[in-house]
Amino acid sequence: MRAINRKLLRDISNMWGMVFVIALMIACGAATYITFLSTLDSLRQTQQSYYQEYYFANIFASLERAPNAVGGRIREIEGVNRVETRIQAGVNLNVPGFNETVTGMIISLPDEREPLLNRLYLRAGRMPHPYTEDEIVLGDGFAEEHGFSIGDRLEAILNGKIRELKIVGIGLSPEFIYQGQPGSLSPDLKRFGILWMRRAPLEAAYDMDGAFNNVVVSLTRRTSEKDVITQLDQILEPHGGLGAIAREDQNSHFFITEELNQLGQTATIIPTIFIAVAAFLLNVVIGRLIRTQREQIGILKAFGYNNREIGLHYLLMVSVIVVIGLIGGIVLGYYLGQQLSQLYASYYRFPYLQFVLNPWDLAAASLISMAAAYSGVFFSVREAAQLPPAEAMRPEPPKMYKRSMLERLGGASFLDQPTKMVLRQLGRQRVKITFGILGLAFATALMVVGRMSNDSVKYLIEVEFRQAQPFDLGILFRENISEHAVMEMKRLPGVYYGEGYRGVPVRLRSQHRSYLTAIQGYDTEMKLRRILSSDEQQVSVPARGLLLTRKLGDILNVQRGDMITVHFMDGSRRSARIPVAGFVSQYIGLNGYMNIDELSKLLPEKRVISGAYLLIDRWQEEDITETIAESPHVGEIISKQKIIERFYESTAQTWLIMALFISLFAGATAFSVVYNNARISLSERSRELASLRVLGLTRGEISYILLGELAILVLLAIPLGFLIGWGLTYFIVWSMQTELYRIPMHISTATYTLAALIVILSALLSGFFIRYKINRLDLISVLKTRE
Amino acid sequence: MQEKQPSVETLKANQIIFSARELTKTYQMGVVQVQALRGIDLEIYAGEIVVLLGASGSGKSTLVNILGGLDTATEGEVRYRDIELTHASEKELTSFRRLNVGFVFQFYNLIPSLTARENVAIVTEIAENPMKPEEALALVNLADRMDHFPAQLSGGEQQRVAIARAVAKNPDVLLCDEPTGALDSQTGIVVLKALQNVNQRLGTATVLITHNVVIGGMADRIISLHDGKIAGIRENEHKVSPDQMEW
Repeated sequence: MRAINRKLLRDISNMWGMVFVIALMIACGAATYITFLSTLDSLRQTQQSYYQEYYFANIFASLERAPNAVGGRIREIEGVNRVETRIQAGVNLNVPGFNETVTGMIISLPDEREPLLNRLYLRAGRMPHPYTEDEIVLGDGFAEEHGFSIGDRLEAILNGKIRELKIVGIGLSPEFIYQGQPGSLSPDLKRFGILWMRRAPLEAAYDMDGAFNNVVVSLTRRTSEKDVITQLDQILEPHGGLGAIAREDQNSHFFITEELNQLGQTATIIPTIFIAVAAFLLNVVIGRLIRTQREQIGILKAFGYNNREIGLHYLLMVSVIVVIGLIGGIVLGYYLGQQLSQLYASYYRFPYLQFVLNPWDLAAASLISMAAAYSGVFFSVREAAQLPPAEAMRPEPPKMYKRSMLERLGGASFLDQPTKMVLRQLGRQRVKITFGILGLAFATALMVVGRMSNDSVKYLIEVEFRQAQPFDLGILFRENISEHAVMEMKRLPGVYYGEGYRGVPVRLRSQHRSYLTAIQGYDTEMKLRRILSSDEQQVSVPARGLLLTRKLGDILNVQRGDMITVHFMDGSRRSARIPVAGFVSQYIGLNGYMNIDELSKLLPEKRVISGAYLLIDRWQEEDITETIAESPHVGEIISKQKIIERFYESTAQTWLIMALFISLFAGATAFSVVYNNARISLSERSRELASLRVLGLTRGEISYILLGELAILVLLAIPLGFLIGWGLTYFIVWSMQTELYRIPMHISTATYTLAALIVILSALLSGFFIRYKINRLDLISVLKTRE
Repeated sequence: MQEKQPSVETLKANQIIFSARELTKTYQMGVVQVQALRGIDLEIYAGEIVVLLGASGSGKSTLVNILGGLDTATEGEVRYRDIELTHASEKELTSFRRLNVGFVFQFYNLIPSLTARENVAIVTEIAENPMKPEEALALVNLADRMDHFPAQLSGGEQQRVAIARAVAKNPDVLLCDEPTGALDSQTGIVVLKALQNVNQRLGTATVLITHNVVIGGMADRIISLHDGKIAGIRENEHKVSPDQMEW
């Protein structure tokens, strides 16, 4: 081994503490990058192959009832590949020992063959035998949550009749990767089950002999979804078609896509911050190393080593650190990526996981780390390579200082000398100080961003559920009924107040743009369901015209006052032209709102309601729910409290893990920035500080000179970090908003406080270590020797 | 000038400020034990100039470090007036340096971020009975360079600032470790004159380490160290001004 390479290894082992911190930062950056991207790739890959192998449909349509012959007409639409007609119905399930309302969906399987589309993956058991009365395959998430296994029986209410079903298989389908009730915010495996049954017994149970009420379609390549949907809607229209939807609007697919998009955002922003901080640290430590090696460089050059060789020497040193960091990062990223993909895969009920570690991701992580590292050392290495040997062998002359800004402005008379030293030090090393502040600010920002989902979703729930939906129970009726139903409910003990509304599915159309949604007909002064403007003020429903969610207005490209066409998708099948009366704010879902009386006129019908909201005594919720559920008109009862609880239940753990992960990294970042800064200052200024100790200054007094500088750094960095955190959050929120889901921009005081606290604590911890080093400062050695 | 100086006898009769008895110091340098001092007995009197002569490794710096409270002896006893330095705590040593001793270093050790005046002020701010920084700088003929930063001063000027900084607290003793070691002879003489001037005007006892025999000419007593022991103590009967020295 050449002597110069041996020196390299010795240098690295001598500053192993610093090497470790830097390699750790690079590892964190690379690991975060690889973890998130491999998770993203794996989930996308798994999703793709799952869709393909199990024939996930492209178009989904529900209708009231059509004879099977209609299926043949659908098959003839140009561009249609496969068609599967089905019977699909909502069911209520009785789970012994579980006292909450459990609903589900039952879907038919062709009697004597596998479904052409949305095939089942059987995790256990078998498919039901053809023409058996009571055999089902149960969704695996639900089965797992309640501990059902093959051979167990499950009581279900099919079309009003209690049936005892026998579980012969446990399976899942690409149609229900995300499993949850329509309208809920998170997967709910406990209270929503999927059941598959052969078609014949379902036809019998739902009086659907020779008919279907749901159809799924796949397309040939290069077929326009839009054209097929239009034709499908035309065919299904006379049979009570509720409007076909494309895959991108399918509930499960939509949520999965959302989640993967969010992951994609996280996968870029967080690793970028880590890599930036790592580059900064690398820059500082190499600069310091070269300064302490001035004499050695001079000697090497005097011996005849040229600039290129010396430059290469330091680049090699940096490469060693980068490679150590990268190896650690890749191993850690590979492991964490598998864990995280596994977590997501089970959360979303993927039957299997195809873990992919894209070589491009590895290359990108390595390239980014190396580019950051090399750009970080470029200047210091160039400086080292350019030193003339004689200059390099002389001790550095005293550095030039200036009076600080504060002193020049005349505010210095009250300052003692140590404070002047602190201020002038800050003034002299502007670049280093700026990097230090930026490093700390990014650590702070990371904390703010890390808690963003937490904050925003809490805020969303606050606004959406507590302000916009002050009701306790929401009731959906099986059919439209008279308002007397609400009157009756109001008479129940514990019910304080109630209001009915009329909801109707519609397709809104403006020129070539259209959107499938629902119009809610409310009384002008609806109290239990408030419509909010963008500044969260209540908007009253106008006597005429339609209020639209802001985003829906954007999709349809309409302004206030424009006329839009409304196709009512319920029994009436009518159309009307209605003016847009204004826009409202809504974080989840897109709706139209109008006056219930005007809606009745348009349909036209007597004033009826399709649902109701109740304000109740929470302590009596169970009794009230039980009483109401006995009514034959009542289809579904929604408890707001339970929706919220369920949501927190399902997301709390993910948040906790995420927040912990990010706090840990941010804390580590803050610690390394402060520690490195202080450590370098201490070694650069040990002579100065030791001289002061000899002159009689106490340890406390010289600690003030060194740590005072860091305190100012931290104090400047925190507000800047808040600002950067705010900006990053804004960027993430902006880039993540989608049609149905908009995340509010909200950062809580608790988040700011926590971020500041973590950074300050990390700084104090570093300060503590530095103080320990100050206490051990060797007074004698610095007096004689030069640095 | 000569007449104003008190004789050595008067000094002895006056006060002993430092006394060392059987001082030894052993360093552990890796696996090797180095005996830097091997039993030193010594007194330093108020107001005198003592030059400690010796080759490198003779133990002169170790001795001064122990006298100045920077280091502690392995065995033996050192007293500064009533203060027992041998067993003093870190805190007591700091306070001892803060109030009683002025240090002048070979490489000046000025604070680069403070001007000449402020470099003096950082010491006067924590002393009990200091002179004004301006006064101290005038003493070393730097009244006109007070607001310069170290980077704007020559080596000799920097060392004179260091002397001003050392004397500004009105210490009893000035400890100077090779104060001219980094300077050319001409500048060195200017610095030595500054030290002599301080000694005459303020009566500050001055211990000056050097390996340069010529500098012994300005001392009241010359103590030679060799291999950790005192090789000889010589009273200088013909003190000369640094002006008359040459090397």
